[in-house]
Amino acid sequence: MELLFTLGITVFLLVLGLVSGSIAEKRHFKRLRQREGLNIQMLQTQSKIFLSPKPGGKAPTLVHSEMVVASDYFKNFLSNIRKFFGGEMKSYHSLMERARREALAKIIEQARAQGYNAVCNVRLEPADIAGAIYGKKAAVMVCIIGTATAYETTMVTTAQPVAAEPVK
Amino acid sequence: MIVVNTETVAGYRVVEVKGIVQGNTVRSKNVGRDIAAGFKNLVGGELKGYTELLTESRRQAIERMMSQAQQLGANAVVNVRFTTSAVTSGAAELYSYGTAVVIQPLTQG
Repeated sequence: MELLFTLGITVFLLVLGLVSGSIAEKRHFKRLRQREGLNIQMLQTQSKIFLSPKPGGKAPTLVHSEMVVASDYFKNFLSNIRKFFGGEMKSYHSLMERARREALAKIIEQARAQGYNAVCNVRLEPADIAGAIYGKKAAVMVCIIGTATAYETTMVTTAQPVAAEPVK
Repeated sequence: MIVVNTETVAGYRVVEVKGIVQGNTVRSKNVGRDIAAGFKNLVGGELKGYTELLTESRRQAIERMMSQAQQLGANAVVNVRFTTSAVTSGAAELYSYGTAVVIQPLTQG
């Protein structure tokens, strides 16, 4: 009886994780695609040099963004199986991608909100929130901190605005 | 004060280097946030509490770095870097450092 109860809870958590996790992920990717479609017109570079800065433009400033995404129970379960056999952990791959894209999108939006039209020296780094990543609780989360310098440019980006794809 | 993570500042010229300035902070959220994060780990999604924690810590670290630069008489901090480290469970240490410099706007022509 007790075994059945434990099994029931595990199955419930797995289904909960699978359903809510995949809904959250789909929604997030949809939002990201829309935002990135708008953001593509901003000049974004990783170079440390200011590409054609506007003479007499606004003084450059630092912009930063943070993003912490949690995994779900189903993904943790899958990855534990994967750990046994080894190989690519696809379930965590999308988690990293979401965090990075979100951090980048936030940087660009922040720069635009302050009236700049370009960002350079974009850095995306993982951060350690103590106990979150290597803690005993094994809470799996990805923390990304993004840093960039916003400035005004005279360069025009030729990228076409990308229309938001319909979600499958 | 101009704070950038590049080595130079567009439209300005570095005239004097004042040295390295730094700012750090160790912050944590309340227990409620930690418990909420635990639940969120079952269903997935963004952990807003921890995102806020990082943002607040970052602002504070930058402010401390800027006040140090001001004491040195600098008017800009260039080449700013950030690092994080794990001190204790549920807390974040954020450390920012950069080079304090005195800059002058470039005269046209």
